Amino acid sequence: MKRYVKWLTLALSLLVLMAAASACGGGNNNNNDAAESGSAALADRKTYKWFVARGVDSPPAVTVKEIADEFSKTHPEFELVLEGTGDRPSYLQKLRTLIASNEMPAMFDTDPDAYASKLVQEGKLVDMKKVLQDLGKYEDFRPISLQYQQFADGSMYTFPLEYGIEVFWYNIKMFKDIGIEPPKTFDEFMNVSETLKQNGITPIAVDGKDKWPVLRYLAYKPFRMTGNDFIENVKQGKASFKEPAGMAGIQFVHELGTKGYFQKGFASTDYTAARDLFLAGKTGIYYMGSWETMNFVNDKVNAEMKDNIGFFRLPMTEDAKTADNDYFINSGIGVAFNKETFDDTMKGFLKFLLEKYPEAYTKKGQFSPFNYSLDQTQGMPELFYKIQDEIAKSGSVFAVPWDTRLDPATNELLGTELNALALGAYTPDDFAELMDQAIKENAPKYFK
Amino acid sequence: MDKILRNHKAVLVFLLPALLVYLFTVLAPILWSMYFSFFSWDGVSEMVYIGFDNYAKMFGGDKTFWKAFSNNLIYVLIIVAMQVFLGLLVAILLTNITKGREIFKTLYFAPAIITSVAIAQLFQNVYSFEPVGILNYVLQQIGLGDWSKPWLSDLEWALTAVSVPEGWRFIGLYMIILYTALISIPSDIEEAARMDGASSWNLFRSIKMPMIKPVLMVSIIMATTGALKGFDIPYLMTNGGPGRVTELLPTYMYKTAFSSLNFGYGSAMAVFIVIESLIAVAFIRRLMDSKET
Repeated sequence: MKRYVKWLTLALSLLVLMAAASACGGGNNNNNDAAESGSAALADRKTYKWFVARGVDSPPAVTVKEIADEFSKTHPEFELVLEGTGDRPSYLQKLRTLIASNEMPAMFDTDPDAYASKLVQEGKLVDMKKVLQDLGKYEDFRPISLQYQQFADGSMYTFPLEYGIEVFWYNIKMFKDIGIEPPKTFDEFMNVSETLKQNGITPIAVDGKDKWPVLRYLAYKPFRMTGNDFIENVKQGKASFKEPAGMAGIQFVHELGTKGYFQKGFASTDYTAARDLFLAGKTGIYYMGSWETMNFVNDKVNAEMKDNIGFFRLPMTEDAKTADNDYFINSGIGVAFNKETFDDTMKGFLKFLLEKYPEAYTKKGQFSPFNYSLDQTQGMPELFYKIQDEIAKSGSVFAVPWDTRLDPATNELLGTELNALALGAYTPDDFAELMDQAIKENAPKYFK
Repeated sequence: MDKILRNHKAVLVFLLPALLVYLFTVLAPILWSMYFSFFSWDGVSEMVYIGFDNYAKMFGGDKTFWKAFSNNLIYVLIIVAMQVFLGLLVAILLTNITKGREIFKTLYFAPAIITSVAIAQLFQNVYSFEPVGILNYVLQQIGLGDWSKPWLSDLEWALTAVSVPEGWRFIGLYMIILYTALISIPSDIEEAARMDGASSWNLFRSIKMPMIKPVLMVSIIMATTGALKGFDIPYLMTNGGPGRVTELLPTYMYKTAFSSLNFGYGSAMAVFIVIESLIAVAFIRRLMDSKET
């Protein structure tokens, strides 16, 4: 017994020590930073921080880091340090807190959203359009990839590292067995979902935890009916959610949710869990961008699913104003540069990066925002080439994600309440009223 | 030693550093929040002084605030019930066994040293519906398959589901505190009562309860204020969702300040949480004191 007590005491004191040590660690880190920058100043070495929104092991981040390390070899004064998280809400919160406390990183990721436009107004960001033109790189990008980075007035303060079209992925075998075709219209989409459900299969896997995937469903019908007019107007209170386009979107989400077409418990399903449901053959349909292509063909996918994944485009409505090859296309969250730290070294690095990036990135099985594609001889998987073809065929009008357009407070509310709508906590009319009220209250502060 | 303790100046010198740290880390941020709460500020633009507008909005029209407030009360009830009363129950049972007492104590205490993130992850798996988690699996196995549901996205059950992990994790802590109080009751009192023919229940109600009352009060206060500040587990498990079903005041405050970028309004809520906690402590003390007379 005594011995046991001794061990317990030892364990507990270790624990206390560990807690104390980790607390000190927090303090020490800061000291180290200070010390590092102190010695860096001596060696004339500058450390630039890139605050990354994609997870430091994501293909864009890894590619940039590799290129940065290569650049450091010839430019010893330059060092790029990556810090970040793939969890978008917490990324944005950290970034905004850093900026509010005057510690804006040298490089960081941001969408052309209302918050970024505030930063531009305050003169904190580098004019990327001008920089790219000066470097003679502006024309190297796919036009849509740059359009996506622009604010509504055409100015541009970020540049893209990714390029993706968004499609509905589906389980080919499942569709064949039941005898259904990929839907071309939203009516067919509902029928397909109903048929899947009748056959005991959950129709759609969706990530409700990150909010934006459900938000896409709200935006599909308004995009088909009005292009991007609805969101551009409604965000400023110039249109109402009670208009046909808004109600169509709201009713669509309400119906999908309450009819049980989303998987049960979707509101707390996260990104990978939703994808895994689809890959495990538990759902028929999964909406996601082409950035997932390589995850559908790698060795981790079970053999049954490997050549079993197809995709279809965003369905049409009868009165559609946009063509069937117009859908959500994006070039991902862009990279912005802090004006204060954008010196000649940084500019040199940017030039180097833009030269090396397209090839390095595409070889990782990704679709790059540059006019750069791989031919059949490169031995990429079949699905990769199919998507590459689809990208070449896509239209010139692209849907903009709503969360990059709305003001932060309305965005927060919409993201949260949309899941509740899909769970049937609101009637479509009440929801429209709620959103109109929120915009009335929050938008004037952002869109003057 | 005695001499030093009698010297008030010396005592003050030793107390001063702790006081300074306290003032700097606790009082200063509260005052700072109070200052911010009179402004409208998004973190980028100039701060604009708006007087009591944030408070007016909070008490006036903000339905979400009141929803979060009432959620928070339910959260407190569940957690205090679990932590203090289950903790007390386990402590009493522990005093009745002699063999393996230490092992049980250690086992029950273990959750208290696991980090919130791990606990959130653990319970997400417990509650999971697809792939089926332990809870739903057990329900299905014992023939209650109808009851199985995605607990964390169920509009009725989500709040309970996020309260339970927080309650569960600190049962052991309160068990230890109350157990210590229980075994410090002199055994002769107990023996005397037994000789007078007191039943176990009477013994507990009339003798043990009054004797551990001060400790019980501290436990309830700690559990209550802890739950009023509740943030990590609800935030990690559901992020306040679905809708606002599991939104607590601290999570709403955090989102208002750091997602909606309304630092002023967020600060006003922070001030409210401080005042609310103080009122709760005063209320519990009154309640417990009045029972005595």
